[in-house]
Amino acid sequence: MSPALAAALAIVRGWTRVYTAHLPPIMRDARRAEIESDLWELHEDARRHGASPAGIAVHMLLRLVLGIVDDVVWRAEQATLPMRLVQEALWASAAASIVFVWWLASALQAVSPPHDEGIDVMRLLYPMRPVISVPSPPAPPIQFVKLAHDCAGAPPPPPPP
Amino acid sequence: MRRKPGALVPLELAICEAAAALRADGHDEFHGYQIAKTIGDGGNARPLTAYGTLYRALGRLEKMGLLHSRWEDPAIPARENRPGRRLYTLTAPGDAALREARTAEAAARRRTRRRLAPA
Repeated sequence: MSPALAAALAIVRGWTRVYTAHLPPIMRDARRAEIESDLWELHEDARRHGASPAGIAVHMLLRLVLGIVDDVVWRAEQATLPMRLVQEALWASAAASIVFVWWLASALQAVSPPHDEGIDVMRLLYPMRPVISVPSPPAPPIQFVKLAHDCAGAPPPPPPP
Repeated sequence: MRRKPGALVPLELAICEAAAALRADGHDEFHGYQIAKTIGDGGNARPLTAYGTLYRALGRLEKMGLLHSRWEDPAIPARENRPGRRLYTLTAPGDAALREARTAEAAARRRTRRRLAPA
């Protein structure tokens, strides 16, 4: 299975799990099973018609995105959201933010090594982890140029700036 | 969308039309994807109805008594190695609602034609 198709399937399944969470099991399982069946039918039908995996993935995501409002309204129609779910959503958002900052910091670290001076952000983000500095490329060898002076009349070369 | 009591919104009407078309083709029972496909084919390569929109509308129609659904025998999908299908049928009230909607649509078209016709 192509990565695009696998990602699309995971996104649709993940979203279905999110908006059906904390529903009565019969209702929750019925909706999840129905979406699962639709995903399978769409995939098989598109494959039979020679659609590319990327095309199928885009179609799945399009059907997901265009129906999100209806999903949310359907969810609201089924039951009021409990306070616990709101708290869980907040915790999930906080965890996602931390993971995102971690990832961003790692990406930045890979791009540029930490500075020797000032506050080391990497040290703040990773207090337990030693910072691995990226070795800088070796400097090119210094080229010595032998300057020939004509002591008879030529002025000496200007001092380097 | 605010609706008149008993009236069908365009998607519900399209679902009932698709269900009637599938039944005419010999499919008394149909699943959600078949409906989406039938509606999509009728609209000249329109993208299929979104998951949320389709299944919410199917649920509404079932609650209104215009459709009836059941889960297929689990042995069938197990044998065919696929997820189980929820199979829908158009009920007698669904048929009646479809006929009524068609009649109302035709009457509205006649009225519009009469209004636009030169005096």
